[in-house]
Amino acid sequence: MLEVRDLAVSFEGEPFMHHVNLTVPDGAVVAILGPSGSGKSTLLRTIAGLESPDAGSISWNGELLNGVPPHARGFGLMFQDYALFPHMTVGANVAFGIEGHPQADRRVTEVLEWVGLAGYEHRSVGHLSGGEQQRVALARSLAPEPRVLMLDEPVGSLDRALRERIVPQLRELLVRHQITAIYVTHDQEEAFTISDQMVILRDGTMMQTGTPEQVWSFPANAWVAGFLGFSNIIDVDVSRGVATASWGTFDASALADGRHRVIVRETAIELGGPLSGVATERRFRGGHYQVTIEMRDGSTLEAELDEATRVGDTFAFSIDPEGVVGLPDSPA
Amino acid sequence: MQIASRARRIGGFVVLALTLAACSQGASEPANTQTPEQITLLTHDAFAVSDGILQDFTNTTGIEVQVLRSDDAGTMLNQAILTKDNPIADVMYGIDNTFLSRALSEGIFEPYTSSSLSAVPESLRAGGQVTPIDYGDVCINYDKAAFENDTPPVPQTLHNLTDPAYRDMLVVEDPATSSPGLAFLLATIAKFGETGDYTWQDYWRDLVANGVKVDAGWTEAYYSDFSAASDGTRSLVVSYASSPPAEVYYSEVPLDEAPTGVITDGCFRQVEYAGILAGTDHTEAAGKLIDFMLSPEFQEDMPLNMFVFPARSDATLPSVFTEFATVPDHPETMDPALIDQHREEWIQQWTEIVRS
Amino acid sequence: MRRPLRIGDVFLVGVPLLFLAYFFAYPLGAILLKSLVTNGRLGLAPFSDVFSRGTLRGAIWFTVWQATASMLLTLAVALPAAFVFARYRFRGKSLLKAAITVPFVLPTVVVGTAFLALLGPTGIVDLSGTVWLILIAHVFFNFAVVVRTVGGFWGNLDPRLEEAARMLGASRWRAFQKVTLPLLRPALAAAGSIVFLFTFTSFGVILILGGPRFSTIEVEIYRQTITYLQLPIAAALAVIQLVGVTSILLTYSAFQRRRALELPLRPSEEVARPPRSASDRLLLSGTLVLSGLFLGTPLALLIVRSLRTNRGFGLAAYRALGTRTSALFVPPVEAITNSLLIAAAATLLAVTIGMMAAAIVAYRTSLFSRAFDVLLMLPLGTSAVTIGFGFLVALGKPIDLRTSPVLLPIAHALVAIPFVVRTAVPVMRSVRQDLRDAAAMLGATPARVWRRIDLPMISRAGLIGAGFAFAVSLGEFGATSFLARPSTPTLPIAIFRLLSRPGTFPQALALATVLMVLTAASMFAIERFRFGEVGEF
Repeated sequence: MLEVRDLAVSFEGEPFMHHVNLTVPDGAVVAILGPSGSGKSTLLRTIAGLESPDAGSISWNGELLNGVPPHARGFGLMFQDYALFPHMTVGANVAFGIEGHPQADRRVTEVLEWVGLAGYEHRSVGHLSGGEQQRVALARSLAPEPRVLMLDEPVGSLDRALRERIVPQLRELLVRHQITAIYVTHDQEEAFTISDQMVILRDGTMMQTGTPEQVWSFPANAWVAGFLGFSNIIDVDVSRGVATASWGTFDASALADGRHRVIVRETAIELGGPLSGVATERRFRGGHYQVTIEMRDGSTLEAELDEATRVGDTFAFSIDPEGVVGLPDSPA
Repeated sequence: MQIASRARRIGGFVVLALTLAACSQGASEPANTQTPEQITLLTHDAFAVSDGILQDFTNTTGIEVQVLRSDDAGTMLNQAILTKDNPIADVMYGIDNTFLSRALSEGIFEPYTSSSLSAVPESLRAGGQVTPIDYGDVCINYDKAAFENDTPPVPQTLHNLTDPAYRDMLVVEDPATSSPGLAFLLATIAKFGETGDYTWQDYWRDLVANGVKVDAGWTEAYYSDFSAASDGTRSLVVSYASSPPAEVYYSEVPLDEAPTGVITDGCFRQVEYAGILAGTDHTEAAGKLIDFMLSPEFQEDMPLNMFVFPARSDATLPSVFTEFATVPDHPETMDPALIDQHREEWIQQWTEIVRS
Repeated sequence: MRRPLRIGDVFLVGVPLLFLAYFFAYPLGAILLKSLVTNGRLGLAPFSDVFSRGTLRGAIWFTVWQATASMLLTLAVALPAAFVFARYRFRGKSLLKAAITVPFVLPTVVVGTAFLALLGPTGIVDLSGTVWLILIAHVFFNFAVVVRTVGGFWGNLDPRLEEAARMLGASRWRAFQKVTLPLLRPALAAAGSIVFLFTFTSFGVILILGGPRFSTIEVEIYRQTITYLQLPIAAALAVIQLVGVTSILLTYSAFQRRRALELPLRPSEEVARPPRSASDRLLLSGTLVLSGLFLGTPLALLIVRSLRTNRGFGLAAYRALGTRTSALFVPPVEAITNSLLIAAAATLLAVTIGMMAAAIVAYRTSLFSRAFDVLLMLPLGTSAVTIGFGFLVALGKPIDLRTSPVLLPIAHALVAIPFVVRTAVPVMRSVRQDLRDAAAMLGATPARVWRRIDLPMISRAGLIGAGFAFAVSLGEFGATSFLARPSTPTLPIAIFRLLSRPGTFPQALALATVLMVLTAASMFAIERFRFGEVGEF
């Protein structure tokens, strides 16, 4: 079990991260999610030993790792741009961490099979496609059976279709082989797919931790909500289960009386109902439509609808109170 | 592992090779019961003797000779002066009259009179510190082919060279960087003098006006500009009296006549000396070497190797010398002390005249 | 930056430092002090003497500007060839690459005859007496330095960067100007600094091809020492030369101070491609033909003349080399063996010390490492006379090395180390840090990271450096001629000997041709040298 306690890290001389606490149980996949500059890579590199913390501790099964050089920690790190050794073949790359071990060849074959690159041992690294390189990098970091495998935006440079295919496969692989992993990304969908636990970082500070379901259902604040992709964050006055926004009212039975900042999930907007607005934009998402609704007073709502509404049309809709989530932030 | 062991093998081979090379530099001595005495001869790069000559010396005296070579006489002298307190050799050979005075004033020699000195003409001797070994004359060489039809005729005197008939024909060397160049300059100074109606400076001004070419060294003058030895256009060059015999000797086709000739007017005699370096531990052995250098065997070996004339008046010259060499009767000479005193000033004056 | 073990640090710095201190700084200091100190007092009169004389002042000025001009000209002329060797794959590439190093190795005195024949009074165009003859000769001799240094580095640069620029609408020329040239800067500066130093201390070219009209500091040092025996003035000039060189090197090092970009390096085999378009082929063939003509004509002339005998063409001169009438003290085969052995020793020494020193220079940016960098380059900018005589003055005690044959490889190594350092440093600096981090994460200790990641990637630079060192040693004439050597000559010395007497000219050229072939063969072998992953990058 990896434990990070009260970690403080500087970035380019300035104090940056503080009071970072993280526990990664054996076999769990923890995602660290945050925008660029939030400190996710710095955190990863610090855990790996490539950077030194200013304060705090990193320990594995109670054994303190501060001061232990990276090559002695038994952790694996898969780099953002793969960092494959250009002067070695695929096989040599994968074997690098286990050179000299009696079963090395067998292990290389094994991990290459895991990532679906069986038979690639003698290929030259320079001629591989992006997806192939990524898988070689993964295989390479898995081969030495690291205590913790850290992945730094591993699918960032792949195209979307590939990404959406690979990430579930990756999760399946990690779970099947019970690999303890920390997965760093800026993409919330990846984080949701891959992790058992999520940590959301902003500017070096932890905003929220929890399971993907918890985070999704109850974002800790408006920023997190916005980062997770929630577009409809509005301030409302709630009185006896009815929320009043600047453009109308809707049911909000879960909220107490008073002024709140709430999320209205895009999926909570349904066709037909007491509210009305104009569809100003419509994007087909291959299964549903993403529609921007402009309300009477000019504010907009984003909705995910099954049916098409013509752009420019006024239409009626309602808001499902189940899809209204209160945020702890103070409203304006 | 593979890398390391191969690297080690290569490294080992190189070390072994180096060691062998270093060992082979030492005297390749025959197995002797007693360690033979070894002395070192410091000389310049033109030193050459036939195989076996130095071995003969060792066989007769039991002394081995290691030869150290410097680039030229000037470099050699500098090296001797710089290491005066802890000399790197026992005998120095190759110091000539242009540098002699300086060597003597620096006190690098130990006086020695060779037992064979009597065989050397007085004119060559230079006091008790050094022993004359050989001499050569720096003279103007001419390309016989260029003067075949006798118009113009072969110049007879230095002064002829200022005649417009010989315009653009002469190539000389820079006295600041060339030994024959300096010798020729000294010849003109000795001949025309520094005072009077027609000084050496006047002579050089006339030469410049007559199109004389100046090269940095003998190699460029002879092998790039001299028409007899290159595709160059100059038929008169400052070279040595021994150059014509050398041309015959090295010619692939046997020749009846030397392709070049020598103008005997204005030759400058360069005498080369040997001396024992002060501070040596092998004074006696060094003396023996000098005696050997004055022996008929050594003296008669020199001409065909170094293309110089033996100092010994009774040494027999090889046929190519007797047939094809011209020895000037009255070469120019100059007191070594005078040379040392004025050399820099003369060269600088010359440079000014020639560069303008 | 990854720090190697502490002990390793001390070793990396200590060995080169000790070597340079004992075999360079100490002899240099000794000879200068000896020349400038009279009766226990340091005289500054020689300095005022130097500055009061018009000829000497003129020599100082000429030295600086001709070296600058030579450097710029060489870079410009050799750049296309560097490109061609870096980017294209073509038949005979290895052979040609070996061949272009030949001019670098030949003693000036030999090439001088060919140059005078081509560009003198009886040549194609008469440039004798002009500075152009000197500049062209400098380009001729230093062509290989630029091609191998810049070309080597260029051969590892990812061409996709240029392609990206082209895709963004830049013309070929603009992509070159805005993308390639800035990336090449470290290699250009490295090559430029070497060429500058070489031409700054150029001796043979100035003397032989310049004639009495031109003079540089080096020529004046020679004149003052050898002809006038005026050691104080010579020493003053040597100090001025050193000061000039040091200040230029310091400027160069400050210019490099910005942390070098970690560049995308790719294996050279991948970067080089056969020419595809018509313009590719034109560029390739045009450059090869022009470079070949430029470098090859004087060499061809020498070879042709070596085959000219009284009876027409033949190998008489070559046969004469083997006979006793060759006027050499030892047969030429021994000269060849001697040269090869000394070159091998010098190369080993130079590469070992040079790579150690390069590691310090490349991975540290402190004041110390910059000063260290300058110190490493100094021997290249120091007068050969001073070094040679310095050995004589300083190395007598405790062990008398003054006439030891080991001095030759040491002197050669001193001059070769700058090459090794300058070719290795840009490549060392370009190795990506994340590759090292990746290796560390896979369990490699710092030593293993060095061996498996850095070393193979810089090995090609190391081989280029080794090639240079070998060539430098084969052709070294300056410092060698001022040492008092035990009998066996090196090839350049032997050639010079044969050129200094009448009748042996064809033999000299024959031996020079042998040297040419030997150089090409050695360069070829080194280029092809592979063991393990070394050399393959």
